[in-house]
Amino acid sequence: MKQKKDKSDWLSVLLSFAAKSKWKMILSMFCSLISVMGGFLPYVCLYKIMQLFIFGSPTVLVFLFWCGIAMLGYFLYVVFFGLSTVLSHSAAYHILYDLRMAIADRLMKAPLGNVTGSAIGHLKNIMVEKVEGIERPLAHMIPELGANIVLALIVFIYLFVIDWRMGLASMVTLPFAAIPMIVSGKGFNEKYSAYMAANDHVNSVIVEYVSGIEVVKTFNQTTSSYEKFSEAIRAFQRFTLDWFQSSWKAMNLVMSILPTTFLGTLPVGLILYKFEIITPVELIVCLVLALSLLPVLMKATAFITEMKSMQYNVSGAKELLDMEILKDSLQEVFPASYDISFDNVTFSYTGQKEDVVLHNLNFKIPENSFTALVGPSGGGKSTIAKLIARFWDTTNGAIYIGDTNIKNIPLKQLSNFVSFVTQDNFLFNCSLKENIRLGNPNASDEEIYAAAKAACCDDFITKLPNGYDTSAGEAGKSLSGGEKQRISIARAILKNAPIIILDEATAFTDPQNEEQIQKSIAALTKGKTLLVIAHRLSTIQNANQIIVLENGKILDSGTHNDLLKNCALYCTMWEAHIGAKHWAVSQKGGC
Amino acid sequence: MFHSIKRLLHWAGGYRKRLYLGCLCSFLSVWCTAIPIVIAAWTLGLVIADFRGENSLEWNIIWLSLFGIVISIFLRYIFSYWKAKLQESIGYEIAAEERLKIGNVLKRVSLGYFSKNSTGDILTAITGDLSSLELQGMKLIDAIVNGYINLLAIVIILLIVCPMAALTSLVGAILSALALNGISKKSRKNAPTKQISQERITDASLEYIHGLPIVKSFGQEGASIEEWKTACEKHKDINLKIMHGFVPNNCLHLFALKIASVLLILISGIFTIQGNLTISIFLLIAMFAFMIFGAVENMNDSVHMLGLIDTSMDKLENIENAEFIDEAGRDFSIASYNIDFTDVSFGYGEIEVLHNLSFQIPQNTTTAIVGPSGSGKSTICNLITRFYDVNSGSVKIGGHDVREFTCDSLLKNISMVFQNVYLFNDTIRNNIKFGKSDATEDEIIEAAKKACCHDFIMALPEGYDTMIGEGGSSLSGGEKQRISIARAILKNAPIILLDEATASIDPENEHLIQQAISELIQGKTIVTIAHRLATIENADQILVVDHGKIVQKGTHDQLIQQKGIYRSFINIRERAEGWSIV
Repeated sequence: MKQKKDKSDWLSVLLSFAAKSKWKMILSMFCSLISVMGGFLPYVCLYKIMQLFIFGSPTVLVFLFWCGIAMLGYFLYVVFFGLSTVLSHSAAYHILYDLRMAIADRLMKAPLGNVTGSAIGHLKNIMVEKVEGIERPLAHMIPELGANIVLALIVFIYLFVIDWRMGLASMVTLPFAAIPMIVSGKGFNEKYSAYMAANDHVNSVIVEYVSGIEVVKTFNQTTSSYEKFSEAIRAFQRFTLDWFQSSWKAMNLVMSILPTTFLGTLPVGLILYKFEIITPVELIVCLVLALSLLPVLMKATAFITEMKSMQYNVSGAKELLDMEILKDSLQEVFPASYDISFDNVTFSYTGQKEDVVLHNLNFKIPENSFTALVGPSGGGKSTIAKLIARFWDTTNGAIYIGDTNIKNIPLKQLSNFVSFVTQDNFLFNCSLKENIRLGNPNASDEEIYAAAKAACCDDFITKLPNGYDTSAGEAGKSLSGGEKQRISIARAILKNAPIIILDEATAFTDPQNEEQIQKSIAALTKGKTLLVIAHRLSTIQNANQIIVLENGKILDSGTHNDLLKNCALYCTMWEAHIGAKHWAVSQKGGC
Repeated sequence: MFHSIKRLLHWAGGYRKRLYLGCLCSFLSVWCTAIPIVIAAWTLGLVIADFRGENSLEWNIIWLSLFGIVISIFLRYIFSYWKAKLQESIGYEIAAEERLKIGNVLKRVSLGYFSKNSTGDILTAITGDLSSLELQGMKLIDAIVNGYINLLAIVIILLIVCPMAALTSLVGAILSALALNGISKKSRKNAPTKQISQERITDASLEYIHGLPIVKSFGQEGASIEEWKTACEKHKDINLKIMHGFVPNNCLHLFALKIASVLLILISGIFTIQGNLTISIFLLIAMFAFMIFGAVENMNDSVHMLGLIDTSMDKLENIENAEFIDEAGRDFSIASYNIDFTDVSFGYGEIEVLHNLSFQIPQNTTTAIVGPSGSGKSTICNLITRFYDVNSGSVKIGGHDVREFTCDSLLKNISMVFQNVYLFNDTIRNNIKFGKSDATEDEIIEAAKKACCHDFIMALPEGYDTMIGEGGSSLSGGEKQRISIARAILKNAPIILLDEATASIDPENEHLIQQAISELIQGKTIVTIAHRLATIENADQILVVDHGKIVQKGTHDQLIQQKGIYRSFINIRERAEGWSIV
């Protein structure tokens, strides 16, 4: 029952995208119909010729005439087939384009947390490969399926008109072929997705192996001693061979029986002739018609597999098209202040009770103050930051900026209020200037330079061959992680939002850059409401408020000195931090 | 077209015998397909004779024809199943072997190979290209080689009954082959364009997904959709253009075959009118005319793909023929572990990054390498492990040039702890075991204990069987680091290269990492790329690298007295480690 629903679902998704190319598709089907009819014409000629030879006295002229008609039929067949494919491919590629745009749009509107929570490779695979996989079956099926069904119907009806027994006889291979087809079709969808999953697994193991090649080299592993690698490959091989063995049995049986339409028509025709129910002419017509069904039936078997792969790929696209949309408010708001307050906030990624990661949080971050979140990793620090930026909506409770629930702030406006500086220093493949300008599209060049100077970027950017016009892709190789970090800080400086959330971003940089990043952060955070996810406690020891988080709950909060007095966890963290600073490599240790 | 087919046959390598047997099965199955038509022509002849009153149609003839058809279906099934079993399976078996083989090849090439050929391209070749070869290779052989074999099977029958008809069908096939060859050439020519467009759309999708958080947080939705939109549009246009380019050849190919079909009827008909052929034979040829080219007709789809498969084979061949860095190496053991750099110069590409470097690292000492980013610190480590070869000069371990060793015999002496921890998407146990593939459970636990991992591993619900990475448990950066140290402890190599993490991963973990490292390095020869003051101060020897040269060398106490890079470096570090935002 559920499967049936799936089936109609993926089709309706596809059809909804096909509406725009409706005329192309109709025209393509029309051409295909002419082509199939043209292809049928030679069979009519064959019948006429056979009749002529058996019962008439064939003259070269009449014979040539029928051959000419057959030639004409094939000419129509080929030309309209060409036209039809041109049209159908064009329609199919337009559908692909629309699908890709719709997916991109949906990703933009979905809660950011859901998007960043999926593996990038998985999303890319759907947007590029799976959507591409729809093209071929789509382009072939649109025109050919319809036309072939029409032809098959005409032939069957004709046969029934001649004699109903002949009509039935021509269909005798259908039930015989249907049995192995149904047997092997059972569980096909599961097998097919298992196959795709196994294939993905093998490829991801290979990607892993190559990405970790330095480790592989250092630890002397070979592909066969690295069990995971060899096992994944062998398992995939076993799986495919097993599956194909069984499907070859069924498919070849179908392919042997189905097109042999003479199985029914010849003996039945002969018997009917023997009883003088049909004439020899009618017998010949029936045999020729049965012959003409052959290409139609061959195509039909090919379509079955194409249909399956299309279903698989469309369902993949549907997974993204069905992503939930984050509700956006249109009513512009004017918060009284930029205080941030959490009111009984509970959050779980899945919405399920057992997956709750933040439990009933209540706290306030006053305007223009400096608050830090500390605690063991996995405690929920970055989840809090992401909730303020509305990567997700809270499961229960609410977050306010000033006195406005952030759900009521239009997303565009919220992004103006909050700058979120993370460790992910992604640069777009445009010039460095444009990368900084993303912070404020209306900024003048001078403002960009000023922001870059404040973020300590000016020096290294002007040293690049094309300065600010160097494209990020080109500069990418020569920029260090710290330099990219500073460019993204410059972007945030230019944006000049009143609230800054900082994932203490210094963790990936080298010492030379560190000082400059620290300077640029100081420039960014001056006079703002600041929330820092801290990794090194010395960075935040002067914060107005430090919130200690453990397992999604607030353990304690206060200033550095308060916490040293009252909070045991904070004390151990601080001591560990101070201690680690002085731990040397050559010192002897133990656990 | 035939050149590509030849390459595919060559690719089948050791399985070629099975391949040819498969072709034989295909040939026989076509004859089985022809049986019902022969029977139909024969009985029709009898019907005509019966109708004209020359001979009467016996009942047993009818049963015989039914029996013949049933037998032919059965035989056809047997032969076509065996064809699939013998032929199609080859692709999957070769692909598996090839995957294992390429993995071992990549292990033995210089790391420079990956930057020269771009890791992305290599990955596409051994995942995407190999997969499509696996899936399509034998199908193409089936479609094209068996397609022509099928034609031949019928032509042989025609040759017996009417040589002229056989000749006609051959001419049709040759004309169509010319058109197909054009398709194959175009497909080969288009392959790079298609690939570029494919790469662009892939890059654009990655940039779009990766950039989403940024454009959203800056309210700039329009900025990133542009490139995606253009890439998709270009992709559509290019593919349509390629597709349209194929259409004329496709039509010519089809038309050549269809004309040949009609000509078959025409020629045999005229022979019959002249009285040179019997009606039965004419009927046989007329019916054959409609099925003789069936397999050849469908070849164009396969030929489209041939160009792509050809480029795929090129790429894989390139990888398999990559030059091993240790081609001339030998397996041997060394007695001491002193490391000597003599006059070493090196560059990754044209630009030299290390200039005439000379220094010694005595066995069982700690050497810290310090210097600004990009000065060549990691490069020094990469030369010790022979991930790359020096341009001039020599790197010696225990008195032997690293180029004398095979990779395996060199690297068994060295353990590395990388700054960017790389763990495999596998269980914790297997990740540690990676250090020594025949380690016992006790050895693994021992190493984990020394690296301060055991406690947190046991606290996980699945303990050592916990999966790391996607879909598995999310460990903190510090925990991952310690697992990578446990891996190195298990290997127990006499030389340790340590690329120190630049900043603490999280404060609680940091002292544990330091403890784990102390366990690892006891009694070993250590080279560390150092950032932390404590590490640097306690080293036996400090090498200060700047712009690919060693500018200062000595102990901390010596160097801090001198004016120079080292002193200012230490000053900056001291300030940075104590920094506070406000």
